[in-house]
Amino acid sequence: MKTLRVTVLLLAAVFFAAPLVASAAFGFSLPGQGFTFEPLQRATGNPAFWQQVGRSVLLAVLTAVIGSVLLMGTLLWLHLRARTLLPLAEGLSVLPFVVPPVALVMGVNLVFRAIYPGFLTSLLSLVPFYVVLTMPLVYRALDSGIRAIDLRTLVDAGTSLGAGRLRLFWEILLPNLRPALLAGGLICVAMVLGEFVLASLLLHNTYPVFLAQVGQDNPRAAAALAFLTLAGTWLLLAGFARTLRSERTRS
Amino acid sequence: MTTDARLALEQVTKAFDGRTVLEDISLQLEPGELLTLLGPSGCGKTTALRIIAGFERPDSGRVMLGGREITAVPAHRRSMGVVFQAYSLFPHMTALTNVAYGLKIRRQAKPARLGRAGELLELMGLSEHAHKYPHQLSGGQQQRVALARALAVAPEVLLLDEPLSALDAQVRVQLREEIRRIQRETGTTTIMVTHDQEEALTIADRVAVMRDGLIQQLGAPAELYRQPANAFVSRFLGTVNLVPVTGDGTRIALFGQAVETVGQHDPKVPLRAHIRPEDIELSIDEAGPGMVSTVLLRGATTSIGVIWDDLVTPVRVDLPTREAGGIESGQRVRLGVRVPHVLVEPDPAATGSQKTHA
Ligand SMILES: Nc1ncnc2c1ncn2[C@@H]1O[C@H](COP(=O)(O)OP(=O)(O)OP(=O)(O)O)[C@@H](O)[C@H]1O
Ligand SMILES: [Mg+2]
Repeated sequence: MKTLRVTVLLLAAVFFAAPLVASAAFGFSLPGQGFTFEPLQRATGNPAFWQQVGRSVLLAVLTAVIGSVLLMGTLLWLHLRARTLLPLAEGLSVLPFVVPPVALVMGVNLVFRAIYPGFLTSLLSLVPFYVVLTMPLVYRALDSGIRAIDLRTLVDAGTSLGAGRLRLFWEILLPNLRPALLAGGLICVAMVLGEFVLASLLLHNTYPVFLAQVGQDNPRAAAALAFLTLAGTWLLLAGFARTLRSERTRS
Repeated sequence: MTTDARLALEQVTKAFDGRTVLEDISLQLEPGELLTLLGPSGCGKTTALRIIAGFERPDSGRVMLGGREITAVPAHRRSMGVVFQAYSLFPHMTALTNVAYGLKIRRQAKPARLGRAGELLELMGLSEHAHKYPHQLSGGQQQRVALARALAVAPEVLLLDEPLSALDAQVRVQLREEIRRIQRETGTTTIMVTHDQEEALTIADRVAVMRDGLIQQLGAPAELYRQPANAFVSRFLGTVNLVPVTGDGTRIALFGQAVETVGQHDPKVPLRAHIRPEDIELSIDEAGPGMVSTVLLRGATTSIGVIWDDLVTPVRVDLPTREAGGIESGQRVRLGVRVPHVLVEPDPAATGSQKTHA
């Protein structure tokens, strides 16, 4: 039994780690030269690189903020005022998984080109798409955060002590929902930094699009960057898990 | 505290999804009074409390405080302290900051409010736990902090929704006495919800017994216990023997003795009498119609099970333990009634009394 478990674990580790190790090895070496940063430096030396990283970070932050605000508002309202609608909302929240991005773009394009032709040419036009795309996961992160606290009782307790709505939200709910909001934000960052289809369909130069282009003529740099991006995301997640753990055992 | 915290519900009704939960509830509390709201699960106790606190609006009727109607006043502007059935402390604040929170909202300066919160925690015997977070406190400690938090803002009315139901028996008794003491000291008009009849009777000035959204009886604990208005109240407050009998309209024959009933009854329907174990007299008699089946020492009282005639369930008789000395199972006994009036109700076992059945 135990050997089986260990075998499965090892197989999984190899399955996930092998491509990573391979891409790192490929990205940080040149034939005959061994370990080197040269391909990476060539890519980051390109002024377009930092510009596109900046764009993707901007998109990620906007997506996280707008998505969280919209979903948090909706979810709090549903939990406090319309619990019977929760299953319906949960069902609706996974729709973006079902609708392919191409269909989404085509639909939005049809509508918006008629109303506001300039819409899709702005970089920020990606934000609504990303909010929709990240919704299923952010919804789950926030919903489980809300379910983990006794929302009704906390709201009633605060109210009976004289707290109005704003105070309730800032001083009582937000501190207790912060882990869920952070998790939702991280999901947004991870998804936006990896989203290629929509950005390239709409002809916007974001970081993933840049990566794909670099891959055409400097595949080693692309591999190195992909590795760094993944490792960075993991570090973020690990840091997040640590803050949570230390918060739970504080004082 | 405010002097005129006279609280009243006037003909309050409330329905959820078309199902009536409160039906025409009226009650009035004198300033400084402690009323317990007693009833089985789901009878509407919490709903009544939530309406008073302002968390719910009644469908009709009014909530009055000190002669002013407050039905439409939002919950955060009412001066009411609430302790909830569930643990309700703010998880991200220490015991001390939890208690001080209401004063913070009232813009009291930090040193003043923390000082006051510290005093209240001391009153609850929790000084050394002041800087702990809720998850580091036991259930009883959490409810004490919740009580201190509710009292910190010197509310006109204190609403306690089964604050002790999650605690074990010993802590419960101790804490309910503390609640009573502090309530007396502060003179805060208080409603406490419970479904524990002993708790309701011990600490209340008056008790309201509820069933299915209706108040069945409202009065002093002794009055409810001795003179229950109906069979439900009688059975809900303590143990009662239900004995099938027949009557002639004003009297019944019980244990071979004619006893007057509370009010009149229909002589044509089978009845059952409600009689408490301590209201039955027991004497040893070789030729008595009853036979002792069990003797159970409970402490100060001893419960004796008596098989009487052809009743299916033994009659329970409670005697002070020192009077129950010589009684053993198998003995023949005679029973009698110690009270002048006995409550009767139509026997729901529609086959009629067990006597005719046998
Ligand atoms: N928000 C609500 N929506 C729908 N029904 C409700 C709501 N709140 C209470 N009810 C119903 O109203 C009835 C009375 O509920 P309430 O909570 O007042 O009972 P209770 O006497 O406090 O019971 P318990 O002793 O179990 O706490 C119950 O049948 C409950 O299902
Ligand atoms: Mg309740």
